[in-house]
Amino acid sequence: MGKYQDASRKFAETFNKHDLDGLAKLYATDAVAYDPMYPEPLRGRDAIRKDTATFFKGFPDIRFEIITTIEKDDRNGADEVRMTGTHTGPLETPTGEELAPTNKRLELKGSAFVRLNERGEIVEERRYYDVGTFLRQLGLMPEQAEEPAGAKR
Amino acid sequence: MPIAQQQTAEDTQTLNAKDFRAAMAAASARDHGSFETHLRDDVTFINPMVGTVDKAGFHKFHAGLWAGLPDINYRVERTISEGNTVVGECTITGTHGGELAGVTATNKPVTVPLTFIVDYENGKAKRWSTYLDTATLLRQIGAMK
Repeated sequence: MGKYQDASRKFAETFNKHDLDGLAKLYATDAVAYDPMYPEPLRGRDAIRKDTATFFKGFPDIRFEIITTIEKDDRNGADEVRMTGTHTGPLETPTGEELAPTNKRLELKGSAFVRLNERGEIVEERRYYDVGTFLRQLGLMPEQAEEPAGAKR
Repeated sequence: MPIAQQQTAEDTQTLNAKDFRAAMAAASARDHGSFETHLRDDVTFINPMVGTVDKAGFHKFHAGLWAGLPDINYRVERTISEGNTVVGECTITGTHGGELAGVTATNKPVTVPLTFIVDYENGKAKRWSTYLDTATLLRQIGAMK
């Protein structure tokens, strides 16, 4: 197992303990995370920590599973992941509004391209997942609203 | 096996990455026939816009998408290839010149970042997963605030 795979595994373990401080330390202080939920990237360890804290609060049973890790080298790779949890806590949205618990189940797959520095800290994380699916699963967006013409099953 | 026929894991990774880029070029040309030469007949296509479909469903999805974005282009930003899997980080650009997601043409430009994770078997795609934010796309064509 290469260093990138080690880092991915450690991330998943720390996430699943809901260890916010431990998770924050896996990022460089000047790390940048690109996330479709936010119009601007999350810049810095503290901003990324805050985003994770928000998620843990909204989904107290959230679990993170790595489906596949593809390692380019010790410092670059990509992961295909699955998040599962139940929205039983208040969830602060990127606009600062608080979304009351819906008690809906979330199962969301996504992927991320990640770059590590020489100390093995995450310096860049580019997350890819469907905010539309996220909203639909919480009942906040109508079903099939985004299905293209000619692609109906 | 004769030495000339032996293919190392590194060769496979390189060939798969090359095949992925060729498939993206075919998609940018909106050439169904050329694109589908890169797929196994039993390919599974997974995309939040259609769910999980087979090769015929993949074709139908592309027909709808390419009609909605008639000048669609798939820019490959970077790829990582390991074993039989290729991960491609791409940007789709195009103009909303036809009906898309039930929205009539707005002629608005669209730019959507996405990743494809493609599992290969014997040089052709067996599983083609797409990760993108449909909300980003819908906002750009005015179908969502």
